[in-house]
Amino acid sequence: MTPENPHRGLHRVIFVAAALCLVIQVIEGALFVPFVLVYLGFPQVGLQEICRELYNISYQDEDRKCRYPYPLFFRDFTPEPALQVSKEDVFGPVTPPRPHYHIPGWREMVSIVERRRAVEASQGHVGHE
Amino acid sequence: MSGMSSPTSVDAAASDDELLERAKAVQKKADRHLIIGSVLIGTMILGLFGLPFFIYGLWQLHKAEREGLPVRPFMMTFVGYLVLVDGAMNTLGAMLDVLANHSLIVRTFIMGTGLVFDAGYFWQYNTLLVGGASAPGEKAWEVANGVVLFPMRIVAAWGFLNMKRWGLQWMVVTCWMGVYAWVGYMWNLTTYSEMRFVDVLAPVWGWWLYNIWYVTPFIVIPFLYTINREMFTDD
Repeated sequence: MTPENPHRGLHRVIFVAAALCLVIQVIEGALFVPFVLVYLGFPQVGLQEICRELYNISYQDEDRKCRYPYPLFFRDFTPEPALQVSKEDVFGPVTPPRPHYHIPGWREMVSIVERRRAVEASQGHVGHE
Repeated sequence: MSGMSSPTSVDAAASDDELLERAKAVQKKADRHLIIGSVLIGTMILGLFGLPFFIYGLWQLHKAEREGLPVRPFMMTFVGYLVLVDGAMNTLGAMLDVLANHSLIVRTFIMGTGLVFDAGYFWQYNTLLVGGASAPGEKAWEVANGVVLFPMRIVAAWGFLNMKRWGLQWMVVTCWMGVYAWVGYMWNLTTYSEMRFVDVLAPVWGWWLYNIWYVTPFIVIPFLYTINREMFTDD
């Protein structure tokens, strides 16, 4: 027999807390999938129909279908909405726009700052934060 | 182990061997039940069928420990399998969204979940080239955790259950890595909260109610620091 661990009390607390978490994880893990599906009307309406309606809500597009089975090797590798009319006016850009920065060349910042100083000296203009 | 008991007569040695044999048999049987339970729990949907196996396996070890059989300690076994199952469930969750995002059930279930408590899994679902959740930063966390952290945690738990020293060390490492992942994930989630927790059924409280139970790797950290390290083999 191994000697009694002096932290037995702590281990007891950890066991109770962790066991409780595990049991709840198992219950919610098992019941959450059916809950969501039943909430959304399954089995009276099919998965593909639910999927379509969810897409329609998400993309605010009444005509969007839930393509299934989805081809494993899809010839067009552009993301799905590229096949649809853009709704960017509704929910904003999906990916950040290309910024088109002017990147200063080697030591070009010197001339930029000198130009700025000249402008500020002549106009007394103060920028904003 | 037999060196610890004092009598050296042939009789005592025989009964020691017998004891070890019995312990080995009990350990094997308990581990078999625990593994079946863990695999079932790891699937999530079949978890309720796995729980009885899991509890029965633990109970067998508890009983054997009470009888004084030299088996892997109850608490160590529980923590090892707990972390194993945590790694498995989290890997499943993350990788379904990364790899299986065009299967019908995943699309329907994940988008449905998104509407319930986290619109990061609803907004523009399957928009990006990789597919799945399009929430900013979400895919990076799924890949980092689902490919690195959670599999590492499973391996660590396995080493721990085999009572290897590296198993204990990597349990500590991957449980702390979990803290890192939670802090990073949470800040990402909160940064984009206007997109994720607005216009859903159960916004912030729903997310917490569902996810708070996954803190088990942090709960066991004090345990990992207070067990007898001498019980683990060096190899």
